Amino acid sequence: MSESPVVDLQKVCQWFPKGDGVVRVLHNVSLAMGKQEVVSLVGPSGCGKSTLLYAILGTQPPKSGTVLVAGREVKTPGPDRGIVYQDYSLFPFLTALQNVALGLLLHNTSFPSRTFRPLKTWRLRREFRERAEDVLEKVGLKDHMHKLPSELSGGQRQRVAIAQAVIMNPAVLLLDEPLGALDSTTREQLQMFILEMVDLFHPSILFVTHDVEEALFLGDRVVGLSQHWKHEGDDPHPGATIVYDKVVPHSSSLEDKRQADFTELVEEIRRSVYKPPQLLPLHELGRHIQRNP
Amino acid sequence: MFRVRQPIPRWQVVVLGTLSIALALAGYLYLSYRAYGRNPDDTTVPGLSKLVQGIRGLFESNRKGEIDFFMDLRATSLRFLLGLALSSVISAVLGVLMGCLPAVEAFFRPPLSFCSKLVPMAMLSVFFVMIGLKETLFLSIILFGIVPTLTLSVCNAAKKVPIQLVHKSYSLGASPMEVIWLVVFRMVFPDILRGAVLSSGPVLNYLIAAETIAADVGFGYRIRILSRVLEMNTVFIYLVVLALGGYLMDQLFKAGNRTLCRWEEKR
Ligand SMILES: Nc1ncnc2c1ncn2[C@@H]1O[C@H](COP(=O)(O)OP(=O)(O)OP(=O)(O)O)[C@@H](O)[C@H]1O
Ligand SMILES: [Mg+2]
Repeated sequence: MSESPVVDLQKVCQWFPKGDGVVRVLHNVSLAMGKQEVVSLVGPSGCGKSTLLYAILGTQPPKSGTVLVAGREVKTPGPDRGIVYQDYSLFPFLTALQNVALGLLLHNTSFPSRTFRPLKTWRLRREFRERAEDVLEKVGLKDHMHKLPSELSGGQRQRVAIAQAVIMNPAVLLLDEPLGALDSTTREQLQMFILEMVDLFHPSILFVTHDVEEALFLGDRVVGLSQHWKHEGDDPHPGATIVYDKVVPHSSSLEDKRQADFTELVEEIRRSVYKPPQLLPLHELGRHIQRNP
Repeated sequence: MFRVRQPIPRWQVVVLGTLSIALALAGYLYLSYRAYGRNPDDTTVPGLSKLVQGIRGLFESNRKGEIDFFMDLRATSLRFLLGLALSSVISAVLGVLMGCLPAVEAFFRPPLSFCSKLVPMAMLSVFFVMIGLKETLFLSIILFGIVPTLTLSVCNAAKKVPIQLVHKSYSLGASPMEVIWLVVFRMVFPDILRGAVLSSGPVLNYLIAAETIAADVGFGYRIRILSRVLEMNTVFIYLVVLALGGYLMDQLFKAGNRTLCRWEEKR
């Protein structure tokens, strides 16, 4: 990873006012993500995984620290960062195809140009539709292109949502528990689907999940965010930070990946991130942190 | 028969429905028969033959060579449609902007909330004094009665649009204008349509009331004039035509909803 990171978080802190005081959520989160890297982010419920994602998305900029995406500081949402949520993943009034093509249209044309140059817009629209058809075909949704989101199954909806984000070719793709609402069979199918997408489009992905096995299966690297660390001093606990960061042992093929036995790693992650037997200060937890800058 | 929400066979539904209408009709005919018995020239509860006579009378031209009924129909439906359309458009635009932009909401919510609590009918005389007997009087009373509540309800609907969809639009490269117009407006369009349908009743209410006291043509005016001379046979026909108009509007909106908001029905 000699080239500069796509995502570079530097001492990101986040807190929210609550009553007279504050809720401290994130404390000095530093994380660098390489190009085409798939990073799984795990952590206890409510530790601030979504909050961290929204800081990168630009909808909730951090109170201190910086977020750099492709070298530029992030202040607002933009087309260089794609997002897929667990729910509300698609625009309900557009068909699958229109949903996927929407980003191309919004990014490449403007309201005035669409109004005053209808001929050019019409040609562009056709081009975007063809590109969207192409992507949907690649992800195996050719037969469902003209359906509304309400006519698709949960799994199909998430596929379309991922296609919608991927077609923009973002620097980083942010996935906030995209499979969280699916049953286990669909979930497994979608995991394979995400791996296929990675093969096809090589995006950089930050993938939030609460399922440690899934994190290991999909990620090149697993990062644990947790508030369970011992804070020295009298100040109130400053919030969650990265307590675990490790590259997942490389498997040469998908078959290997499926066979791989992650039992020990799973145990290790559970111990350091979820319910540590005793709270350790950060510098001692640090033995797991391999790649933090 | 008395089981809660237990479905009944179709024929029972038809029989019961027919029965209620037949009973009402029979009651009415009995009343009119009794009135006729007391005074053959009675016009307060006209019988069948009088009603038919009333329908014929509708299409007779008056001294000026105009047919009153058509003049009334034209005046009232124009006022109604213009009032409903204008108040829906104003409420849609203002409501969506208020729901999207907190500054716009902060500016408009207080006066709108206040106006929505005022009783439009009670304001009628104020408008009458201020505007006088002009077409704008009817439009103002309709706007005053509809716009505040409809705008606030559109605003609330716009605020219920999941913030995730707004954020996602930004991440797909949308400008704020595009988010408002292409996402929020599209999302609340079914609510706007529903609001307009629900408002069409009150619009007609305000309009007829205003016509009753301040018009020289229109359904409200005619009904008042005719009932003063006890020509109830014609009054009843006017009432039925009003009801039919309301029914027609309902069907129209339903068809519009089916074609324009297909995605919402499927949800
Ligand atoms: N806008 C906000 N105002 C106040 N508190 C907030 C806000 N956003 C998040 N929080 C708080 O920050 C903490 C972390 O929330 P967040 O949604 O990021 O957790 P999470 O790790 O994504 O949890 P989950 O696994 O349940 O999705 C929570 O305690 C939440 O109450
Ligand atoms: Mg979350």
